[in-house]
Amino acid sequence: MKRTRTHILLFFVLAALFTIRCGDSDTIIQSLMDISGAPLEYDDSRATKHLNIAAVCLQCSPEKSENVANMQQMIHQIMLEKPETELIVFGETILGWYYQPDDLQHYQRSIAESIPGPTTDSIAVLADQYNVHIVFGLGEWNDGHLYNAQVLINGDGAIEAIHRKYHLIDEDKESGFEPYPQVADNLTVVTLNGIRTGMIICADVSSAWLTKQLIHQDVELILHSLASFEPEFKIDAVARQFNTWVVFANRYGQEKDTFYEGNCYISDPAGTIRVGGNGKQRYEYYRIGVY
Amino acid sequence: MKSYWILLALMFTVHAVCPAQEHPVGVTATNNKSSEPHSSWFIGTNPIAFLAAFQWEDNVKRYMPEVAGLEYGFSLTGGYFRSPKQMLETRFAAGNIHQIARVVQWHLGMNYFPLKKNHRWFDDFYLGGFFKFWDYTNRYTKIHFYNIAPYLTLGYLFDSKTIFIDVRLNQTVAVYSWSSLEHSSAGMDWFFSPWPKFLPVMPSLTFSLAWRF
Repeated sequence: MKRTRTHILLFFVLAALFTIRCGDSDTIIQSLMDISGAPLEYDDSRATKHLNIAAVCLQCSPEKSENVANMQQMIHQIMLEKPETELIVFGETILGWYYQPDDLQHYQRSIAESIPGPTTDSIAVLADQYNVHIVFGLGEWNDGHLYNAQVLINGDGAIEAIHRKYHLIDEDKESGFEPYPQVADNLTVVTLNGIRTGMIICADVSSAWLTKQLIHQDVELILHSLASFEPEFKIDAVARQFNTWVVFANRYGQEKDTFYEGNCYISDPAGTIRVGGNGKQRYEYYRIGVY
Repeated sequence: MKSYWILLALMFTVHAVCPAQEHPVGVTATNNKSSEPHSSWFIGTNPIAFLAAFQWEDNVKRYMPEVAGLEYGFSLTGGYFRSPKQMLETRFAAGNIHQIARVVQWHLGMNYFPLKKNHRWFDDFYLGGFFKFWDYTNRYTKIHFYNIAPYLTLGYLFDSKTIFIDVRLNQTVAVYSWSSLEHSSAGMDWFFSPWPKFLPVMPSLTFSLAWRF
């Protein structure tokens, strides 16, 4: 009996040593534990840095020209209703459908552009006109490669940053996108109103390497452009992953067999969603405060 | 504040319906019903929690924790049969959820076997009430999210006297949370599911293997 108890105890000790060090590959699989708990209060009333942000949930057509026109109209609407807006964030690859199963690679190639290109030029005009930063996702042709990219145009109409998706999912690969290499120059961090801001696209959030790099860069805000059909969360797992403000910009509507519910929000470093919802094309506006 | 009093009322209600009515294990009754060997203490583990801390194929990693009772890593459960109908239990688990977060959790509560009588197959169904505390830690930012939640259990014990397998459903009812994050303050809410828009009520399943001694 004593020997059996010793064996049992030894088993638990070995299990403890072995188990706690497991899980070393780069892909983070988010868990229900990441979104468990009660929403917390986060007091940013005495913050010293602020940024007025609009997160856009856009309904996308398969036609690029319609989507560009829709983007422009949304920018005009935001600046008319919220003229104090300093940053507008659109979703992932919004020049067209995210995934066109009838014409996978040819479709994405047909709507992709170089950066700078016609769409960035037209959006840059509005960015300059309204003195607002604009972020949006598109397929990018770069030196013969097709990347899933996210571009930041500043209030002077200049391209300030380009982030290229590093962590692709199956739909990206089937559509012909190539992953950008895991290199330091794709770690996209800019400063907006003194707020260190990281840029990621969709499944980049599942990269442990990218997460660690951005945390080490002391980012205070994450701009997350994506195409997600998941329903609304109560707590934002991405905000808890980085402990930063997060702008979650998405798309809405039916795209062939996929229906995007339009989950779009802005959440604080505690993971509490300050503004957000789903159900239609719209924008979510919030003034964030950073200490 | 109203929610706090409701939570307290719920806690007392769970304990009120589980009074110690049976004589303690070890005392032989004259009708010989409890003369069979029936050890009081037990120690065990949740073997699926151990597996849940590994890096698996995506969907396995995503869904396995639901059948591990959202326990990760090293798992230890132990307790005492206060009587044939009452099982006091404590559980501990610690491990990495994934590369970014770690969770340490501790549970305490009691299960009650309302039908326990004459060794019928359904005697080993039980209901219970627990509290669990968990510390969700971001390993890189070092920020902690602390939580306390009451939950209810419905389970069955496959009992072979020295070893038993415990299968149960766990349903959280509410949660009180706070954090080490600066400028944050505590919150409390009803909590039937971590993702109510996806599934408004989401219990988890736990398997435990334990030895009596």
